[in-house]
Order: sequence, then C-alpha cells, then structure tokens
Amino acid sequence: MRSSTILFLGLLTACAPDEPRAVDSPGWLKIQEFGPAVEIPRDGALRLEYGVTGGAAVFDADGDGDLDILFTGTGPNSPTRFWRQTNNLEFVESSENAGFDASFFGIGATAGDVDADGDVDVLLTGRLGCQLYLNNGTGAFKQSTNFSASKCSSSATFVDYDLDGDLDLFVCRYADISLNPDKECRDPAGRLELCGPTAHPALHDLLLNNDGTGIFTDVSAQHGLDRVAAAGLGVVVDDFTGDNLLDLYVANDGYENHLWVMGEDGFFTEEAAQRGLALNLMGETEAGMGVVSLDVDGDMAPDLYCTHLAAESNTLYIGKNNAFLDSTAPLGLGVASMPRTGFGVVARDFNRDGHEDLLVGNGRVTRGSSVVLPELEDPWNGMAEPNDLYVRSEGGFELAPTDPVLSEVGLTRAVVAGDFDRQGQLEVLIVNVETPSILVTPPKTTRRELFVEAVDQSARPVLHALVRCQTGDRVQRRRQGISDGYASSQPPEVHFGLGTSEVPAELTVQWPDGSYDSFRVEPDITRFQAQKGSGR
Amino acid sequence: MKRLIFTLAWVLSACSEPGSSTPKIPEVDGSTLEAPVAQAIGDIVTELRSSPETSQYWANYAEVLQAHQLYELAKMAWDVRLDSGEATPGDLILMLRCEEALGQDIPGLAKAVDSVLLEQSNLTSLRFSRGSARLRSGDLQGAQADLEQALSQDRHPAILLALGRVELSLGEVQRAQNLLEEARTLAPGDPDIQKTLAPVYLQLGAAELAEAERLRTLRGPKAFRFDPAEIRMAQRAVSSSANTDRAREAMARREWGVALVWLNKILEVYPNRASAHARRGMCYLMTNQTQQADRDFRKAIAEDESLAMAHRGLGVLAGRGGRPKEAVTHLARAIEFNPKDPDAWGMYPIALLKAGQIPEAEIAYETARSRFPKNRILVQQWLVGLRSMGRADQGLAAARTALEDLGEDAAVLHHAALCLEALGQVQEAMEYHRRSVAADPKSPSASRLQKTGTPG
Repeated sequence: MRSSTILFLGLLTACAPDEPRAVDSPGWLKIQEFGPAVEIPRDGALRLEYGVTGGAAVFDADGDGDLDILFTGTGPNSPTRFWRQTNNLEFVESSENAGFDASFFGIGATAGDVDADGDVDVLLTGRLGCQLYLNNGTGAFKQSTNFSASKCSSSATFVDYDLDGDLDLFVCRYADISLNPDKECRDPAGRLELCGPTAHPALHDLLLNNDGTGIFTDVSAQHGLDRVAAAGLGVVVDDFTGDNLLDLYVANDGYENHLWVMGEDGFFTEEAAQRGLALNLMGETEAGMGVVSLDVDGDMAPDLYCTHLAAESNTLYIGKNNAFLDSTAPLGLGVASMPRTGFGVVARDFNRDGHEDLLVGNGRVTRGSSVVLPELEDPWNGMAEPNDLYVRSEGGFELAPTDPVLSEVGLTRAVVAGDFDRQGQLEVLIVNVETPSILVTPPKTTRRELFVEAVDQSARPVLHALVRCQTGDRVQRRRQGISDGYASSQPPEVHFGLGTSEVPAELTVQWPDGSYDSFRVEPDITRFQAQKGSGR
Repeated sequence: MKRLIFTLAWVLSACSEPGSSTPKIPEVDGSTLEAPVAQAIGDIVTELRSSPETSQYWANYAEVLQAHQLYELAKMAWDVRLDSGEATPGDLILMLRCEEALGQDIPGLAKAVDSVLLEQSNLTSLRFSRGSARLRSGDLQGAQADLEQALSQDRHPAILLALGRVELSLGEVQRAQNLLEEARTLAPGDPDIQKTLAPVYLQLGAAELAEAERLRTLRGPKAFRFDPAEIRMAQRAVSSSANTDRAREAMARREWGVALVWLNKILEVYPNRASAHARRGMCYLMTNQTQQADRDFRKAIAEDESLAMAHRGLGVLAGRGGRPKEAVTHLARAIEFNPKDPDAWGMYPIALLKAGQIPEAEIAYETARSRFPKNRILVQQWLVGLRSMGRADQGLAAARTALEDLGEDAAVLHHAALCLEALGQVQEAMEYHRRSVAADPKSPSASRLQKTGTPG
C-alpha cells in the first residue's frame, strides 16, 4: 500500500475513539407504523413519477415543541397525510383539517418559515409542479396562491443563498412528463417497465428568491441554472469549496451531477466536473437519488455520499483541496451496495462512537428477480429490499449485520432522522410506498450523544449553520441542513455521538453570515439550543 | 435509471433428460419482448437445444442475453460455459462485465482469469478488464498490478486513464497527473480524461490548470478500448441494430416517415444514442420539421461531438435560417469529422460565400472540386450560390472550367446561360441554352428557348 493511502486510512484511525466499534445489540426497535401505506395509483400504467414518490417532512407544525410528520400522497386514493405528535412518540393522524390538496400527486417535501411569522411552512414537490402551504401556527395550512414552480419536481430545500435573512428555495426538477404523461417505456430487451428520467425531456432546476414575505421570484436564469438540464432527485447544502459560502450539490438521475458554487459576486456557477463530483471514479454518470454531506476523514470539510440504482454502487466522494475523489471502494462502500437501489439516506452517529454512520433506505424501481411481497401487485411485489446500515470501521465503513427491524424488506424512499420527541435520543422515520412507513429507534447504548439546535435571537432555527463540537482532542463537524437524503425535510438540528467522553462539549457555531458563537455544554445535557449572539 | 425487469418465465428445456447432466436452458418469455429481440434469442435457443453439449452455443446465448442487459440469465449461461473449460479470453472479459453489472461473483471466474493470464501474459484486453473490475471493487493494489502490466504492453489511452484513476485513489496524485496527461495527448477529445484531470489539478493546487482543462474544447470520440468479444456482443443487441438497418434503408429510399418510426423505436430504448438522433434529425430536416431537426442534431452532438451528420444538419438549418457564420462553423466541423462527405463539401463554399468570406469560399470550392472532380451537384450548387450573390461573371468562369472536366453537362450549361443573361450577353446565353437542351431535352433551358420563340 502506498504511503499516502496509509496516511489517509491512518487519519481515519486517528479520529477513532479507543473503545471497540461493534454494533450494539439487541437491535433496532419499531415505535410506530403509519398506515395506510402510500399507494401507487392502480391505473395499469408504469409512469415515471410512480418510481420516485415517497417523501416526508418532519417538523414542528403546531408549535408544541415536538416533531410532527407529513407524508406526501399520490392523489385522491392516497392523499397527503399529516400526523401530529400528541404525546412522547405517539402520533395521531390529523390530515382531515390540515388543509392539503387531496388530489395532489406529491413526490417530496421541505419545511421552513418562509413568511417569517414564526411558524413552519411546507413546500410539496410533485408530478406536475410544487405547492406551497402557509402555516397558521397551529398546524393548519393554506395553499399560497402567489407561488408557482412548475413541472415534475423531487427534492427541494430552503436556503438563504443571498444572506438577506429570509429563506429562498432551490427545487430539483426531474423530467418533463407533461408532454407525454402516458408514455410507455421498455427495457433494453423490449419489455414494459417503469419509465426512467431519460424517457422524457430533461429539466433545469429552479432557484426562487424570497422577498421576505413568502413571495418567490424565479431567479434561475440569473444564476445560469437554465443552461443545464438534467434529472435532479437529491440536493444538499454545504460549503464544498472552503470559502465560507453555501453551495448546492444536486444528485442527478442518469445525468452528470451538479455542484452550484456560490461566488463572491453572489451568483452560482456550476463546477461539478472540474471538482470531481459530476461522475464516479470510472467516469460514468450514475442514477443519483439521495445525497448527504458528512465529514468522513475528519478534515472539517464536507464529503458527499450519494445513493444509486442497483448494479451501481452508492458513491462516497472525499474532498481534498476543494476537489473530490470517488473513494467508495477503498472505504468499503462499493460492493456492498451494488445489489440494491438506494433512495433515502441519513448520516448520523447511530452507535454514538464519534463517527457518522450511513443508513440507506432501499427499494427497486425495476422488477426484482423474484416476488418479495406477494400481497402487493405486480411489479411492486418484486421491488422491496432491506435497508442497509453502514457503520464506521477501521478501514472506512462496513455493512452492519442484518437487523429484524431495520432490514425488514420494504419499498423505501425517504429516510428522516431526528430527536422526534425532543428527549435527546435519535429516532428514524423510514418512508415506504405500498407498505406502511415506520418510526424506529437505534439500539440502546450508554454512550453519550448531544443534539444541538442552532437558532436565531427569536429561537427560530438558522438553516445551514455550521456546528463544530470538541470533546477532548476530538472535533466533529455538522451542517444544520434540512434536505439531506431524498425528497424529505430533516428537522433542523445536528447530532453528535460523543462516545464515553465525560468532559464538557465545546461548541462553535458558525452562522451563515460568517459570525461565530461558542458554547460549553456540560456532559449531562443531551439537547442544547445554541442561540445566535448568546455564546462566548 | 437503468431498467431491468426480471419477470421471466423459467422453464425447463425439452432437451433436458431426467437424470442426465445436460445443463438446463434458461428461457425468456418471448411474448414480452420486441420481435427482433425475441427472434434473436429464439434462434440461439433453437441452436442450443439442438446441441446443448456444444459449449460455444452457451457462449452465444450468454452474449445475446447480456447484450440486452438480461444479466441474471446471462450469468447462468456463462456458468455453463465456464464449467466447460472452453471459455475464451473474450468470454472471460464479458463474464467480468456481467459480474460488475450484477454486483455478484460468477463462481470460478477469478480462478479462470488467473489461470489464463498465467499461461498467456500478453492478453492485454483481459488484463485491462480485470484491472478495471478490481478498481471498481476497491482492490487498488490488484488493479494497479494489472494495469501496469497492461500498460507495459500497450500505452492505450483507456489503460492510461484507468491506471491514472488507480493512482489517484492511492493518493499518488503526481503520478496520476502524468498518466492522465499522456492519455490526453493520445486522445485529446476524450471528455472522461478531461473530467478526471481537472480535479487532479485542483488537488495539486493548480486551479488555473483545472480551469483551463475544464474550458478546453473537446474534439473526437472517447478513447474506449474494446476487445473483439465486446464488439461482437454489442452487435448482438438486435433491438437497436435491426431497427437501425431498417431506418437506414428507409432513408436511402427517401421514406422519411418510415425511417422515423424505426428511429423512434431505437430512441425509446436507447434515448442517448447519438447516431439515432442525428438520423432522426435528418428525417425531420427532409420533411421541413426544422425545430425537431435542430433539437435532434444538438442532442446528437451533445452525446457525440464528432458526429459529422449532425454538424452537417445544423449547418443546413443555420444556412436556411440566415445564420451563415453558424453554418460555416458546423459545416467545417462536418468536413473535419468526415472529409469524405461530398454534401458537406458542396454546402461549405456556399456558406462561406453567404458569410462574406469570398476568398475562403473560392478556396473551399477549389478544394472540393479537386476532391470530387466528377461531382456535378457540387458545381451546380456553387453556380447557384454565385448567381444568388450577383457574381454572374465569376459563375460563368466557374461553369466554363467545370465544363472542361464534366463535358456537356446540361445543368452546368443552363447555369452558364443564366450567368450570361445576367451579364446582358443574350445571344451567347441562347447558345448555351441550346447546348443544354441538346445534352438533355428535359433541361430547364428548354422552357427558356420556348419563351424566346427560338426552336430548341
């Protein structure tokens, strides 16, 4: 092995706590099932959008402090569903009075306070465009009549790209199905199958500027977004170029990925190819679905992990000098993911050993070689797959052993992780289509963990604040994003596993405007609100 | 998303006898397939049934299945071929591809490849394929060893690129740069090399070189390294190739609508196939559906910059649209990528003429004439172009020169007569009209003579 590889792997090792890294038993626990399942329309067609629906937003809709859940729907027979958390981890469906359009075919969702009135609003992406819903503060929503974002859209994220204090919006658009919505698609052998993105014209993504009141203006052309059409499915926000400005990375399905780099002039430019993020190591485009940013090599800069179709590995890009290298196989993530189709993904420290692990929600978009769930209709009955957990190991990552709860086969799309009841423990929402979605919690461990919410002076979350956490010699980095994964909205908070450390956690929060605050968090605290301007 | 549907009916072959060790033939439900695919698979199954003990038939079957991305079935056929001990190096390359696509091992393949390479160390393609497979699976040392040896046998840009990627993964950025730069020298048009090299420069802190690499104009195809087995397998993809043949035949008959049907079928299955987009663009162009034609030509070029037909099509569209400079650019590219295209050569001088580049137009015409001295259409186009630009004197001179080469060509004589008319030399013009009609009674000069009352 060459010296530099040893050095790289050595860095990984150096960051590791002393204790062994075994996955804790007795295993994952299922907290709740959310039925009825999101149902794909029974119209005999295999439309493009049927393969990619299945999003969710997890946010505090009613202002009671805990997290509620919105599942995207597929129309009248399976509409958008809203589940309110009424007690610790107890959810009750409250769709009826929530105000969502029952006829809407949704794909993904994102959440944020777009009109600065103190409550969290929701954007739904869907087969023919997006809908924006404004919250009245109690978890009742009304569709904005002043909003337009047309064509088939998948993931989206709110981001204050112009640093004017309001939430602007980036929307991944998938493919223009409107020209030929009933198109039949076939595989290379000529058999009918779900349409893929290249069956329809590609679309460019959208950047919408907020005037501060929830009125958005399309500024895509000003930033050059209209010059590159593709099939966007996942988007993540981080500083990928080390200039303290927020950039956007878009995972495209079957097209080169895009990296929208924010320049000092306030405009984005696309730089994925020159920074090694457009293709995999073999120079191939892949079927990008979900994407997360995480810091694998401990250099305090983001790396990227994208989920892909079966026969393609999920791909891990490691950043160095603001360029990225597909390091999937050397870090143990190559072969293991090849048989499955990954969609949702979250990077969290599930075993609290001080390193982010990767949980991937799987589910095919093609018929499998056998029927897996006979109770479902063809072709969905052959598409279910187990989900995968990749835990950090000495050499990179390794696939965790099969778990009866986590590995239960399903047709998973979005995956959302967070401290749902605000009790300082991690829970994970696995969003399935055709089978019920589930809320699960990772194996218990005595290791320490800490949730941090970076908020402004009004206690509203500051999206994409950068939080560094130091315990002893160990420093970890997290970005408080919401769009990590696929077609979903993560709760705005960051999570640290702190192993067996018993010293106070030294937090540094870098706000998007460039200012800093520092905080000390005592070891017995598992949940901390870092308020802008109140630190040291 | 790639799409594979494996709802296949598995039935036992009629040739399998109870208790015999004859392998069972995995069959595909042909009713769900396109007719050419079903026929191709059916033909090989028939062949295999007739002699299931013939190992080569299993290889043929595996190839045709793999060509249509029916990898799980192909793997079963490869298993039989491998067990026979008769697998060729080409078979082993395809088996490695099948393994990659499935993400699962073919039992015994690694050992078979080891054994063959031990016996025949000069099998560069097989060694390159194994090196690439090892790179993908994360065996960097194994990949490095294979690719170094392959490179010692052939400094092919594809091998240089693959080894560059290995070195990059191993953290040997400087070596990666050297390999990739050599690859780029050998294959200056390969975008894969460009997209690998740009981040290497960034990693080395050379942002300016990275930017220059990104902005470099690419010309030429990707530097693939293909083994004959891979080419043969690609040719087995009848779903596309049969339809391409049909489309080409229809275009030759100028049945543009028929050709469109076949091209649409190809593009449904292979939506990024550049040549099909270019052909479809040509069909649209010939039926005056210019917007669709433009879209297809541009898509074709986006997929394959070197596709001359698409450049020619865009050149024609630009010429018709009154954008002579754009026409010049595209026609120049068309000629660059296919110097044997008389149509592009014929249109290029006219485009230059309309763009006001008169000396360049004359040179281009003379070059075209020297390449295609007997091409009458080229001369006619040039004469029309000169006349339309009001250059009757130049047209007359060109016509007289051409007549020396072509003899009494009715069309050239007709154009020469029109030039003379434009110059006010009516008597001489009539003489040329008469000569034109004499050469071909259907010449348009006949109506000219009738109008003037002069008997032809």
